[in-house]
Amino acid sequence: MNTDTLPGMRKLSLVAAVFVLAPIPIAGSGYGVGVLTRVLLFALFALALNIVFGHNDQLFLFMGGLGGIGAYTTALVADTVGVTAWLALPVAALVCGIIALSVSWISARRRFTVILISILTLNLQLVFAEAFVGARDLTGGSTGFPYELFSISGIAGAVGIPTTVVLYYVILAFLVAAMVLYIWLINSKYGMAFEAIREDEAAAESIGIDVVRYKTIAGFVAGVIIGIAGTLLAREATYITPSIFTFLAVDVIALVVLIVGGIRQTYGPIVGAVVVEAIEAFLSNYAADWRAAIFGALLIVLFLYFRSGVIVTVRDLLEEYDVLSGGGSGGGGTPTEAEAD
Amino acid sequence: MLEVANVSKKFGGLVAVDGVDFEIDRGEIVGLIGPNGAGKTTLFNTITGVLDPEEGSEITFNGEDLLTLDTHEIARSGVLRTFQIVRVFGEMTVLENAAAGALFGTDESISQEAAQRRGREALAFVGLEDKADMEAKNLLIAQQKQLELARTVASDPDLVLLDEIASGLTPGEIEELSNTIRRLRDDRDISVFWIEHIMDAIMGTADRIIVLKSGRKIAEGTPEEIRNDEAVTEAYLGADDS
Repeated sequence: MNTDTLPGMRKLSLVAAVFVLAPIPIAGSGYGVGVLTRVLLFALFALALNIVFGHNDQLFLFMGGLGGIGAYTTALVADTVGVTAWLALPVAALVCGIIALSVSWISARRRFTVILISILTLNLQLVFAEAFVGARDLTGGSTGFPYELFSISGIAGAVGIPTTVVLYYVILAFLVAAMVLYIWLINSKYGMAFEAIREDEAAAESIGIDVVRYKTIAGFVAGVIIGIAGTLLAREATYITPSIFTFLAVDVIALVVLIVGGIRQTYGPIVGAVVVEAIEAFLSNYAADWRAAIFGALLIVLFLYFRSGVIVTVRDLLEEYDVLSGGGSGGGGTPTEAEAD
Repeated sequence: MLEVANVSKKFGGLVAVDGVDFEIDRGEIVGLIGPNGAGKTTLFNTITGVLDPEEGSEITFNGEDLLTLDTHEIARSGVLRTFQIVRVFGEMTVLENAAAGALFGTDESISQEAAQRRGREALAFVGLEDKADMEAKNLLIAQQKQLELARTVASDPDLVLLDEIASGLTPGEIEELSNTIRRLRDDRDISVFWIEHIMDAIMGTADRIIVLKSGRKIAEGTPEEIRNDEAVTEAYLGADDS
C-alpha cells in the first residue's frame, strides 16, 4: 500500500526465522536436513505455480521440464563459458523465463482456456523429458552427471557446518526473496490486474487492462522462479538425471502442495510444502511399503475436505471457536498458523 | 468526437449490423433503441474492439482510428462501456472495483492511493459511497450496474457506452439514474451513448435517438421526432400489411 514498507513483512520475518532455526534441533541428521530442504524447494515451485495458476489461471504442467532446463542450462553455461554457477544461474533463469513467457504470450493471444494451457504445457513437459534423455552429449542421458555446483563446500568448510545445511540456507534465501517478490507483486498494480483478469477477462479488457501483457508477465516471473528451483533441486540431489524432473516428481507434488496449503494464500505454498513433506517423511519411515497407497488416500481426503487449503480451513476453525483474538500473530509455533493477510 | 461510418458486421450469413453511420459530439446524450436482435449490442462491441467489423467500416474517435486498436487501448483512449449482463469483479470490494477503473483506464501512471481517491469520488457520484467496503457480488443487481458506471467514471472517460443500464430498476430508481446520466454530461463533460429498452428513461433524457432495426439505421432525431416517426412505430408494432 505504500512505498517503503510492504504489508506482511513482519509476518514474513517470523516465518523466515522459524526456518532459519529449524535445522538446529536436528543438527547432524542429514535425513532431516534433506526433508527440510525439500520443503523449501517445493514451496518455491508451488509459489511460482501460485502466481501463474492461482492468480492467472494458467495451469503450467511443465514445471519439471522447465526446472530441468534451468538445471541443465546452469551446468552447461558454467561448464562451457567457464564461469561460476552463480553467474550461470541468472542466465538459466532468464532462459526459463523466456520459455514460460512465450507459452503465456501464445496462450493469451490465442485465448487458450486453462484446460488448453495445461494440455500444451503437459506436451512440452513430455518433449523436454525426452530431450533430457536423448541429448546424451549435453545431459549425459539417463545416467546423468554429478551436480555439485555453487562451490558451497568451501563455505561449509570455512563455517564448519555440513554442505547440506549451507545449501539449505542458500535455498531459504531464494525462497524468502521470492516471497518478498510475491507479496510486492500481489499488492501492486499487477496484483489488481491479475485479480481483475482472473475474475472476468472481458470486463478487465473493457476498463483498459492489457490482458496479454499481464498474463505474459506472470508467466515470465513464474518461469524465472521455476528455473531457479529446478537448478537448486538438482544441486540438492548432487547428481542430475532426467528422473528428477518428471511430471510425477515435480508437477504433481507442486500442485498438491499448492492446493493443500491454499491457492492464492500468501503462505499457501509454505504451509502446503510442510504438510505434504511431513506426510511423505512419516510414511517413508513407518509405512514404506504402503507409502504410495496411503499418500494417495490422504490426498483424496485432503481434496475432499480441505479443498480451500489448510490455511483457510484452520482459520475458519479458529474463528468458529473464537481462538483468534483479532490481528493474530502468525508464524509462531507452526507455520500452519501463519495465514495470509 | 465519435464518428461511425458504413459499419457492418456479419455472423456467417446473418447481417447483424448493416452499413450504419452516425456521429456523437461532445456533451451529447444519444439513445440507441430498436427491437430485440436489431444489432445494438453488436454495434457497441464493434466500437469497443470486442468484434472486428467488416471491410469498409470506419470508426474514429477524436480523429483516432479505433479499428486499429485493441479493446484495452480503446478504453484508455477514453471510450468506456458497461455491459448488458452486469460484469463487476465480484470478489473485489466495491471500492476496489472503482479504483481498478481509475488505475487502468488512463494512460497516466497514478498511484494506488490516487486510484482509490478517484474510485471513492466515482462511488459518491453514483451514490454508492456507503457500500465501498462490501464485496461487489453482494450488491443488488441494480447497484452492480451503478458500480459498473462508477468504474467507468473513475477513469475520467470522454464517452461512455451504457448497455441497458436501466433494466430491472423501479420507476424511482430510473428517475435517479436519469439524473446521474444528465450529471455525467453536465458536471463531468462526458458524452453518453445509451442502449435502452425502457422508453420513459431514454425519451426523457436523450438529446437525440438513433433507431436500429435488423441491423439498419431506420431513424434518427430528437425524442419528439422519433415518437412520431412512422417507420419506428412500424418497427416496434409491426406494419399493418404484413
